[in-house]
Amino acid sequence: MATDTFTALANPVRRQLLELLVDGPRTAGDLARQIDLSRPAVSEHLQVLRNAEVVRGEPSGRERYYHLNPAPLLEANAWLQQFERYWRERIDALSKLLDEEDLP
Amino acid sequence: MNETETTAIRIDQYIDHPPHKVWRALTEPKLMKRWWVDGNIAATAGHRFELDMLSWGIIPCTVLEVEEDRLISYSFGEHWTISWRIEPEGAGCRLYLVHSGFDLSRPGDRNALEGMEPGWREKIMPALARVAGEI
Repeated sequence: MATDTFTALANPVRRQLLELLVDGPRTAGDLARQIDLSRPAVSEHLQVLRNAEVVRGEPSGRERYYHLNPAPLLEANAWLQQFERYWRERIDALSKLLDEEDLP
Repeated sequence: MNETETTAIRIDQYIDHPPHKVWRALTEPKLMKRWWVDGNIAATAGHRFELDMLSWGIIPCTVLEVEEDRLISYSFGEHWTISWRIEPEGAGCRLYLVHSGFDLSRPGDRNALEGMEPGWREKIMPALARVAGEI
């Protein structure tokens, strides 16, 4: 659901985490070191991202690796793009109307 | 540029007609109907009107801001705001649209995109598309 995705993206730390995960799976500890934030704080943000299903955690030995799940993010983007297309078409129609009408 | 603008769809397009004509097309019901939808819009702050969005239904709107030939913004339904700005450019003008308040159903989503800095989508979306292509 796009709205959950937007909520997940609403926070700058979470966006930063997603940017790091674009480069590949990482552990929470790894991520915490990268963005200089406490491990519990990072875990909390990861939980929000997992709830929104934009990130998934996979155990590997004693560690858990977090992976990006791009589908909901792409869906959210597609949703916004739909609106962009809609408005482009409307503005084109407005422009054409003015081409046809000789308004004072 | 305020913060809410970064949460919105923003589009600008050059139109080869002077600002006043574009203004009329945006604010006169008879003209608006021909490029968009039916609705008793008026360029008066506080004016309430309805837009007939066909399958979406009738959407109540309230005019928020008016600067003749330059700016009109109105609420659009419960959460969205539509803002049109016209700036003279060459022989015509540039029309800026900001469609903000993407929150569909929940009040908490009103602010969901807030603080998303400009460029973030451009930066991460191509990367995500790449990732998505690999799985």
